[in-house]
Amino acid sequence: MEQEVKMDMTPMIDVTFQLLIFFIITMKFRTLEKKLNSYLPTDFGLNTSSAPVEENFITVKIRQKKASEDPRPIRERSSYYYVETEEIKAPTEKEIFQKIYKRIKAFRDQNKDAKGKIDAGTGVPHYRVVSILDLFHKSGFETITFVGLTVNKNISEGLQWWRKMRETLGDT
Amino acid sequence: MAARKKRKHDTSASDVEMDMTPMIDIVFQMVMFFVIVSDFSQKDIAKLTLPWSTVGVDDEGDDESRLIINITAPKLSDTKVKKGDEKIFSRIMVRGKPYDFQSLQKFLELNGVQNPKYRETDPSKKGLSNRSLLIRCDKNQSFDYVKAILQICAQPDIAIYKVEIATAEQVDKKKAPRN
Repeated sequence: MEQEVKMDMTPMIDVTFQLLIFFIITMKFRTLEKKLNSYLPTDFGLNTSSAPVEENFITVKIRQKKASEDPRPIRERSSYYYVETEEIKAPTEKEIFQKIYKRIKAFRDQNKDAKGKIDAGTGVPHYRVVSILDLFHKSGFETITFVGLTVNKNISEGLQWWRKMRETLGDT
Repeated sequence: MAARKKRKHDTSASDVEMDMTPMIDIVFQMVMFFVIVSDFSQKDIAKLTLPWSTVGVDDEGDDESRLIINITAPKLSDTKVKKGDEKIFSRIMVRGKPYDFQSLQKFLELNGVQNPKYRETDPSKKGLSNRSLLIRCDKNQSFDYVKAILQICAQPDIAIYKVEIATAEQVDKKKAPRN
């Protein structure tokens, strides 16, 4: 005797919907970004220029070219790169970075507790500073500080600095 | 007596055949409601192009209390500004809202060491804020904006030291390391 087995689909649909609603409500989208730890030195209040000189620092300086040398808006100009006082020259930016990497790696290999400093001038694009930060990390530097941070005494001084900065960059 | 319409309320042991169609419709309505109402928009994350770095660590995004400050792209010579495209250039954005210098100062003050909620409890970290901050700056933007934020964080009465800089992963290794 053949009996047609009729399956009741109702509970199946219920469970499916429960699962669907559960996943919709609990779904959390994660951004696939990366980050570089750039913890500030914790000695707040101390003026960095009065720090003891016996610390092993190597400074990479970046300055945008002047308007007379590069007529483009300040952000879009090419940059000068210096390791300590020596200018790093090369035909391409890639080669400049390779030279900088060699210099700082050599310094790090000589001094195990060497610390890095990045001195970026006005208008230097963020990606160039991050590239230098990247080279420092690759060379094994653990402590990298930014030079040239003015701690404004009060808010009006800070506002003045801000306005001047925006003006130089040409931002409205 | 009128004809018994007991058929519809038949409580005998026989199977009750229920029409499932309205049930499914209602469930679909509910699902649609939740899908439309749920807000997946991440106002913390402004749309910008992050600079590339090889040594960036994965950003798990586990710290829900982390502050995120976005600095949007600048208007470059070759930037196409579409009509109606409300692109906000060179703006500091927190949770989808633009901040000027004074409001940024106030915002960081609220999260600084002055606020007893956010003080580091570890005695070795006395006088520091326990808030962490992620700076998402567009790659073509000037570093001066990041400096502006770091300068405020470095104020002793704010003392936010846990700063992270967001980077993108390099996808195409063949490309020259030009960001």
